[in-house]
Amino acid sequence: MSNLEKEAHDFKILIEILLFFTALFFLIALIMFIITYVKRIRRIKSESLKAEYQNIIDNVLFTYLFSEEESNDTDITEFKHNFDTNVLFQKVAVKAVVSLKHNYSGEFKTKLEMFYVSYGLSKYSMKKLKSKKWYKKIEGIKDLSNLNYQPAFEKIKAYLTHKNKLVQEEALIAILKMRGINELILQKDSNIFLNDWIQSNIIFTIKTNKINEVDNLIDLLESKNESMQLLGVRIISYFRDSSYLQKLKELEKQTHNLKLKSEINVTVDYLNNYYTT
Amino acid sequence: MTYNEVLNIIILFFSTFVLYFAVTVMSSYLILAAISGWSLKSYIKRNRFIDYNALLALTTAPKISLIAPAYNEGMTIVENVKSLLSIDYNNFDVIVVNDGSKDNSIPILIDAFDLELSDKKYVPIIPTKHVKGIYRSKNPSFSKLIIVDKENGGKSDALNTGINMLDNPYIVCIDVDCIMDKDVLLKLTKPFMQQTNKRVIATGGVVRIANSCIIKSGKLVEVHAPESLLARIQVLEYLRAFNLGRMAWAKLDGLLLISGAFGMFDREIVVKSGGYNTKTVGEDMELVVRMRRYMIENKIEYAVEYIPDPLCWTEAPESYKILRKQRSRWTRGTMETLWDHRKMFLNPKYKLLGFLSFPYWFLYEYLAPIIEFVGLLFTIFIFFNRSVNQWIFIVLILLIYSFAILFSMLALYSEEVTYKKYNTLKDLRKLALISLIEPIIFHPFMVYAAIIGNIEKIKGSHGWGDMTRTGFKKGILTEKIITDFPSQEEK
Repeated sequence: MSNLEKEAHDFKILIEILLFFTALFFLIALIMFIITYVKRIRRIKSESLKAEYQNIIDNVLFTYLFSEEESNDTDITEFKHNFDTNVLFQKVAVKAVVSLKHNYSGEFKTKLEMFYVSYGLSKYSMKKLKSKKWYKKIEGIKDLSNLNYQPAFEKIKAYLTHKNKLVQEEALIAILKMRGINELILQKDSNIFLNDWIQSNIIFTIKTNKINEVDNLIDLLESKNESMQLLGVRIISYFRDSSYLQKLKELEKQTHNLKLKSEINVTVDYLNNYYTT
Repeated sequence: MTYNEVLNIIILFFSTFVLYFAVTVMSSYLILAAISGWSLKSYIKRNRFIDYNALLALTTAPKISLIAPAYNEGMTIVENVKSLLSIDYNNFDVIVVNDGSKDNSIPILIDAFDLELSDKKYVPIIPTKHVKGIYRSKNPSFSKLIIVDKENGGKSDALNTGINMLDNPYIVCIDVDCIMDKDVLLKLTKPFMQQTNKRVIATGGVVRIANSCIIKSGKLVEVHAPESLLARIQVLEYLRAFNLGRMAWAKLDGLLLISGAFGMFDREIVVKSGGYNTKTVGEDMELVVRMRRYMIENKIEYAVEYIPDPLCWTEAPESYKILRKQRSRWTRGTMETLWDHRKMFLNPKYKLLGFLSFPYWFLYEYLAPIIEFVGLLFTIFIFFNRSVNQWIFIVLILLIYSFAILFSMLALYSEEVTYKKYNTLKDLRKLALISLIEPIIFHPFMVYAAIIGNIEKIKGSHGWGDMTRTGFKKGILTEKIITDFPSQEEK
C-alpha cells in the first residue's frame, strides 16, 4: 500500500469512527428523550392516582375520626386491599395521617395514632426502619416518631450510634418527640456534635410538638460537650426560664467558647428584659 | 510543494487540533455531567426530609443583610420590595440601594413605605460613591427596610454601599427584579449553620428562567416553557449549566462563579477581600475568585457551597440585540477576571482552582468561542477550495451537533428526575424540539456575541448596555422597561 493509499485508508477509518459516534450520540439522545417522556407520563399518572387514593383514604380516615358510625365494609376492604398491595397507596396513606396529626391535638391526635396502628400503617413504617438504605430508615423514624409509635422507641434509640450522621440526628429528634427532653439530657455526654442546624431542628421539635420543660436542664449546662451546653442555653431561652440565670452567668465566666459566651449573654439579656418589662 | 499539498497539511493540522479540542470539550462535559448527576442525587436524598421552617424556631439565627441594588426600577420597585420583605426568615434586613436612578424611584418608595430620613451615619469601610440619604420607615411593619439613596456608581458600587450599611455577619446580594422563593434565605443559610472546621464563605444557587411563568403576589405559582423561542433556548442553556455543570464544580471545590442574581456571603471575608470590584462587569465571578484567593493566601480552611434547588427566577432576554449585549458583557467579565487573577493560572499554591478551574475557564469558556469562530472561517475557506477533502469538517460538525442534542436531552432528563419544575408533556416537547434548533441558531449567535465581547474589551469598553424587559406575568401582563446599570462612560 502506497503512502497515499494508507492516508486515504486512515482518513476513511477516522470518518467512520466519527460517524459511528455521531450515530451513537443521536441514538442515546433519542433514548434519553423517550425515557424522559415516559417518566413524565408516569409522573402525571401518578399525580392523578395520588388524588384518587387520597379520596379513598380520606373517606376511611374522616369516618374513623369524626363519625360515630364505622366506615362501611367496602371502603375498609378497598383501603386494606390497596394498602397491602400498592406502594404508592402506602406512601399516600402514611403521609395523610402524619399531616393530619400536625393539624390536630387532643382526642383526634390520639385517634390518629390508633388508626395508624389498627389499620396496619405502623407495620409499613417498621419495615422502612429495618431497610438497609439509610434514607428509608430516616423515613421510618420520621413516620414512627410523628405518630408516637412507642413500641419502636428502643429500635429508634439504637440508631443514635448509626454510622450515618443523618440517621443519628433523626433518631435524636425522634426520641425527643417520643419521650421528651429527658431523653435528650440522657445524651448529654455523648460525642455527637450538634451544629446550629440540628439545634434549630431540636428547638423547632420542642415548639411544634409542645414538649414540656423539665426540671433538670442544668444537666445540659454541665455537659462536657459544648454543643450540648449551647443547646441547653437555647432551650432555657425558649422556655424563658429565669431560674437558670445564676447558672448561666457562672457558665459564661467559665467557658472559653466565644459562641457559647455570646449565646449566654443574649439569653441573659433576653430573660432580664422579659421579666422586667 | 504545491499549493494543494500545503493546504492539505494546514487542514490536517487544524482538523486534528479541532478534533482533539472537541473530544476534550465533550469528554469534560460528560465527566462534569456525571459528577453533577451523582451529587444532585445525593443532595436530594440528604435533603428530602428537611423542614427548612425549623430554622425559624431559632431566635438567634444568623443575621443577614439582603442587598438589592436598583437603577430606574420605579415601575416595579414597590412590588419587588414587598416581595423581599415577605421572605421567610427571622433575622434579616432589606437594604435597597438606589444607584442614582433617573426615574422617580425614591419618591415612590417614600410614599409606599412611609419613609423618613434617618440620622444613621454612613461609614464607607469599602470606598463608594457619595450617599445622599438613608431612609427608614415610620411604619413598624417595615422596620426591616432600609433605603439608601446614592450617586450613580454602578452595580458593584451599589452592592458595596449595601455591605457598608450594616454589620450583620452575612450578606445576600440579589437582583431586585428576580423572583425569589419564600424559603430562599432558609436554604442559603443552612450550609453556614452546618459549618464545622471549614469556614463557609459563600453559598450560591440555581437561577431559572421565568418568562411565560405565572407569578402572583411576587411568588412563582406556575412554571411553563417560555413562548418565546429565544427564552426557551435559554431555559435549556440554564438547565445544562446549572444541573450538569456547576453542581460538579461545587463538588470538586472548584466553583468560580456564584450568580450575581443571588448569592450569600460571609461579610467579614467580603470586606477583608475589598468588596465588589467596581472596575469589572463580571463582578460576581471576580468577587468569588478574590474571596477564594484571600482564604488560600491567608491559609484559612474554607468552603464555597452550592445549593441546586431552583430558588431564583429571572427574566431572560427575548431579543437578539439585548441577548448579544448581555453575553458580550459576560465575555468581558470573564476576560477581566481571568486577567486580574492570572497569577492563579497553573499555580500549585491554588491547588484545584489553579490547575483545573482556571485552565478550564480559560480554554472552554473563554477560548472556545474564538476557536469555533476560526474553525468556521476555515470551513468556509475550504468549501471554496474544493480540491481538498472537506468531509472531515462536515462529519465533525455533525458530531458536535449530535453531542449538543445529547447534552440537552441529558439536561431535560436531569430536570425530570430531580426538581420536576416543568409538569406537562407539552413543555417537554417544546424544550426537546428547541434542542434540535439550538446548535444551529443559538450557538453560532453565542459565538458571535463572545467575539464582539472580545472586540469591545480590546476597544476598552466598560459598559453594561441597556436591557429592555417585557415584565413578568403577574396575574395581568405588565410591560416595563428596565435599564441595567450603565457605566460612567455611557452616562
